Amino acid sequence: MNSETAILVNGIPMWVAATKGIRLPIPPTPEELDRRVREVRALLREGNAEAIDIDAGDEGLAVLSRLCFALTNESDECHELLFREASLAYGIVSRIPWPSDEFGERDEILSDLALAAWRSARQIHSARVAQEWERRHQEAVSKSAALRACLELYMTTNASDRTDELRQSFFSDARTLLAMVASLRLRRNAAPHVVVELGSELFDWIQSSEVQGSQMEQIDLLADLSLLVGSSCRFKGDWRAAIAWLSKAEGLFQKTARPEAGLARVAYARLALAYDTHRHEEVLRGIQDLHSEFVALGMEEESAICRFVQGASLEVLGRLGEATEILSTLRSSLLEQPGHWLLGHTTSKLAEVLALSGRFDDAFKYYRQALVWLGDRPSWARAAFKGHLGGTLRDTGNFTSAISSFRDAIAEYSVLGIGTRVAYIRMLLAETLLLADRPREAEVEILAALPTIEEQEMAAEGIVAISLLRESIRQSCLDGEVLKQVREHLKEGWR
Amino acid sequence: MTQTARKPGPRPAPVSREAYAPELEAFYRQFFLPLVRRAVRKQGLSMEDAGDVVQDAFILALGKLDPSKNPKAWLYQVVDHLARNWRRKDRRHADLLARWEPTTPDQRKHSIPSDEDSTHE
Repeated sequence: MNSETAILVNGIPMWVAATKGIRLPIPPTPEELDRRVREVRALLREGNAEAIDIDAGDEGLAVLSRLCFALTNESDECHELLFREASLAYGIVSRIPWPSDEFGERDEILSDLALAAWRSARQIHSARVAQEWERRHQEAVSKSAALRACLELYMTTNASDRTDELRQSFFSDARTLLAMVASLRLRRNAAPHVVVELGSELFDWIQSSEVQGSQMEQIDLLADLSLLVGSSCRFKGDWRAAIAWLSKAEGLFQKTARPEAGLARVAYARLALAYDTHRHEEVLRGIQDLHSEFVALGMEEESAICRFVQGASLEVLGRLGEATEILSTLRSSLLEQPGHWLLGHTTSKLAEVLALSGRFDDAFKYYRQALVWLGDRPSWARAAFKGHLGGTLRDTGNFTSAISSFRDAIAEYSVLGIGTRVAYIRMLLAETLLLADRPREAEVEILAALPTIEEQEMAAEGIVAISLLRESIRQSCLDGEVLKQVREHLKEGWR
Repeated sequence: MTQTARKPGPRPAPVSREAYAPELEAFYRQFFLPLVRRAVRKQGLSMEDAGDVVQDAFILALGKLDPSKNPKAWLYQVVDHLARNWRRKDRRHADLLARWEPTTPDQRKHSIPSDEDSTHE
């Protein structure tokens, strides 16, 4: 318990005893508050934000609080006016000096205003504008201590205790629900299993209950959630579930007021799935058009991701020159936005391509840069980096470091709950252990990977190869060629 | 709530308002008002009604707040829940008033509920 929380907990008895039997007058009066909010709204509607005199004092915060309620609860209002009011109010709150903010009011107010602007923007504005407000909402949610505390309380509740009644008490306010979706989106790369579990749970609950807000908004929310869960299933390697969720997302986005951006995102998720399941020709056939579509929609982040997937597919098809060109160009453009989450991942992929081209010095230089940008926390991109690095170290004959890097990748993928990647990297590790003349350790890795591999749908040859591998382990004469065959089948079979 | 139902937690102590004035003022600004504004933001209550809601939440906290389990998150949840109930009651009250409180004397004459109506209500 930190010191502020201790002051709160210890102060409650004192407060209750001292104020017993008293109804505290808390200005402003209802009439005064209504009048001030009406004035502010009129000026916002006129676009006259400069004329609004408000600060973060008691009265100013009361007015802003009431304004948040009004803007987030008027679904029948004209979206154009609501957008203007919410976006201008967001600008005012961002600018005014704030005293100490024990309860994270500033970020919560910003989150409410960004949400109101985003809700209107997605009905009337371009995908680029809507996405910008979605990003601001997400940012405010991630900063708001109050929202984070509430969401954390829900997330840490045992699954069996997360009843419909509990969900009702947390999420009957659409703002908390949308904050939860934003929070899940932020966790997609780092905790896909959590996103799948909580996201699908929320999807079912929203479908079967009456969430505050219009029907159109409910469809938007369900569409976003299905895309989120579908993408997270893909990260987890649960491809059949990913396909089902993406179909659901497509159907729902088609019913929204502005379906273009959502449908393009679904199309991307499908191509990414094609990449994961080694259908690289299919990726290359579709990715260029999709990239152009994202550019036309002004969705810069998605267009950058398309370039990444294109480069990665070219690499797998052995078109290393083209892959190097595309990934280098992408990396240069990302360098202009320091802190961009894709920068580390792109640099790591470029390093792998350079290593495959025999440019090992350049490759290791980029690996070092990538590691800095990927940060310290386990993430899908960091785990992939360890896998890439392990492969390059093995190819340069540095088996001990390669083994260590593959083990790091396994540990990170395990934390993320991505079982299929864990199994795949175990096979790469086993091959490297054989090259290092450590067959017993290789057997251990293979035996650990086989259950996951066998759970996947594989072609008949793959099943035969696994049987041969099992047999060679049983006879204590592990055959490296059979191991390689199984790994190749894994690539083909995990579809 | 009976005393036996109470879990260990902060308990009220007899205090003199004057002796604790600075602490009360600090508590009011640092914790009470932000929670009041939370109820205004979430449910659109008036400041005074929101004040009553927060006061009720603090009284509940005396018996139920577990200091080891994220007290702030617990308070947010309780304030949100009580504010939602308050708004629901307020709406019901307004609906009833709109139904039974006619705007003209003539309407008033015709809208006085019968005993039967009252029973149904």
